[in-house]
Amino acid sequence: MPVKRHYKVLVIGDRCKDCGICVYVCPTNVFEKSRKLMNKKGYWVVSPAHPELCVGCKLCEYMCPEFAIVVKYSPKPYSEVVMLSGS
Amino acid sequence: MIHELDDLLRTERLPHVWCPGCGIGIALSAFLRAVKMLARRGKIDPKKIVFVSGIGCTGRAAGYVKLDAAHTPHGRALAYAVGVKLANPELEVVVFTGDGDLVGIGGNHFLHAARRNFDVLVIMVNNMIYALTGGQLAPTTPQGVYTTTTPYGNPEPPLDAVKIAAAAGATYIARWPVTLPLMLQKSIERALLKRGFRFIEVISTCPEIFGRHIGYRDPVELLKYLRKIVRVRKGISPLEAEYNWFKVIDCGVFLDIERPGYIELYNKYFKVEKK
Amino acid sequence: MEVRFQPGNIAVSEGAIVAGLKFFAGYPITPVNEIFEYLSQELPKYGGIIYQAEDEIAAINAIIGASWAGVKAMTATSGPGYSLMAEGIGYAVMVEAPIVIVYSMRAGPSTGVATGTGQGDVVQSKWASHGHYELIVLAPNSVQECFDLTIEAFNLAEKYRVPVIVLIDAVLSHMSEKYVWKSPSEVKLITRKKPAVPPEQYKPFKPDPEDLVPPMACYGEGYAVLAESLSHDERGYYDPSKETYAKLVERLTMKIIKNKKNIVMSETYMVSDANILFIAFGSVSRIAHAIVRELRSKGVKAGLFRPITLWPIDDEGLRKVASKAEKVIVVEMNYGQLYREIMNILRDKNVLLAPVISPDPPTIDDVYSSIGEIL
Repeated sequence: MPVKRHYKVLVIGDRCKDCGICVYVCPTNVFEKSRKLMNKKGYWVVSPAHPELCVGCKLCEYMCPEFAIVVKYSPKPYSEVVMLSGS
Repeated sequence: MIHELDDLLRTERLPHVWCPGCGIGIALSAFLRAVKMLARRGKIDPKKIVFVSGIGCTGRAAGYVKLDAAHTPHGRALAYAVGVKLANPELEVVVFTGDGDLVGIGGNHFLHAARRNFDVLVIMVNNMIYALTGGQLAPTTPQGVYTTTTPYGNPEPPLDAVKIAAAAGATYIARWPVTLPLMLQKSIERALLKRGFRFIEVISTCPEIFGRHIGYRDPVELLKYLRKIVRVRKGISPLEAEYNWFKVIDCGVFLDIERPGYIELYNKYFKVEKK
Repeated sequence: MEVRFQPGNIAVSEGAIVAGLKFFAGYPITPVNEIFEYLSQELPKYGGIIYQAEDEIAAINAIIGASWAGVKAMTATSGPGYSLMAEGIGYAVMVEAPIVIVYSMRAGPSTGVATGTGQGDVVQSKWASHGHYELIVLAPNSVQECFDLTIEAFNLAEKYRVPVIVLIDAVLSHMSEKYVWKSPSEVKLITRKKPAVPPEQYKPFKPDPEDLVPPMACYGEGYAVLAESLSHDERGYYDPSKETYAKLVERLTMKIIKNKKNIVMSETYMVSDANILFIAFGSVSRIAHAIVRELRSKGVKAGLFRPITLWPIDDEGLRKVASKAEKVIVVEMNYGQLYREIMNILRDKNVLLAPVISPDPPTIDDVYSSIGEIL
């Protein structure tokens, strides 16, 4: 019986530069460009809006030039935008 | 530590200075993942890696990695790396630098290090332009393209570093685009464990400068274009690999042979009785 | 300890081996080829590495890399090669790499007379690179000094983490003289300070306040050090701010200026009552020495001040010695490089220049004809 795995998608908001690569490469459209949160450098932080669609391919993590995305196994689908320096 | 590479990065300096969508970040990410993978399997000690980069956008990488590193004068990364390795052959020396730095001003060092089959891993991040200084012509810039020093179009045919490395005597030659991060990572993992002159060219995206010059300002549009022209080949020789930004860029591992590296040759010939 | 009869180039090489040289990168250039060839044969016997680089630029960058990898490193060159090394020397100053460069002057400019001698590189030996910086230039005038000062060069380089130039010329390189060779246990050897704190607390460019020199952790010791050519702070991170840049350039300069008293060296001959003071260095100083003796025999109160460190020069010693002199005559094989420095130091004195322009080893007559009118 195949096990359905869930993933947590973390975005380190301070590092995001809103380039849109994660939005493009994700095969299941987990990410969305967003205008909800701006980081200290003036970029709109991408939103990991649909972690329940994540299949754990980690293409976003590998393709993010900013070391800003982490995808890990999780008991439940979960996403968070982490701001290390406060928003 | 949140990101798994945070212990190999000087996180207090992030976000780094590269533009949004810059391929250097993707290439560096692949390199650090390769180091992490090998470290986990006990095959490499990150404390013994020396990361040397030159001047240019790619050259800034030395300031972001938490490894022994050097940010050398323009074009001299390989010359410096040779000195480091000869002084302490236990160190694993990696040169991570740009196309202009390595095969433009640094061409002579590149030629001779490859000829000697010098034990160094060279990762050339090729964005086909001199980006840091504003977009001047590079030896790898495609013909016809606008650059700030060839405003009427580049008359020069570009240099294919893969062919030079092959002709000079490298023993591992590969070329991967930043659109295939896992292939690049695996290639680096393999190369890190070999001896001799290992050369990996990374076809990178520079949306801000090169992309803008050719009409692809958006990072995603430039990546899409790169995906279109990349053709992964298996089993072809370096001299057969095509390198044409407007037609096709052949990628893959073109050469993977074993030949004694310079350190081995040196020890073989300079075998003298110690006083 | 033993007495040897060898040319200057060999004495320099032996001095380097005794001092603990472990990496030599070179490129063939007259008149230092014997250093390279001798070390190619001898250095491996002492566990050192010898490397012929593809050009002088590769050589200078390789020795800086080797220095940061933890070994004593050296190269040898002449005028044209040193000009190529200019950028690299700036890099060595910026990352505070202890290196020694043996610089044997020949007749310039450009290719000049490759097999000739000269002293036309006084200014280049210090100021070849761009930006403001300090380094140390030693000028031996005998084969004995070629040996001793090469060892001293390594000590100064390691102590102050600065490139040290051993400035000789083609004459000194090739002439053979008796000298006393000492073994490593018979000389004082200095190696770079190592950090006293663990990696988490270590800052690669944080100086010890007493001498302004940072302890040096090298590659492979687990300190993750960065040899940064850009303007950097104490952690070695790029920082273009006014405060950081000013602090860095000031420290790199004061590192030598503040410790000047422990660095400068000079020699005097018959200066206590001299009213004509000659100033010369290197092989020309030997001729000046002979001229002083001759003039004294004719009743002229001549004396000689010989700077051994050309940069920084012993200006305090010079001022003291020149205080009673009416005329100060600088004898050098160029149109006034050391002369300008002396003029600056002895601003209130009558400083004159006696240039000797010749690619051949100068003779006493050559020098006499140059100083003839001014005497």
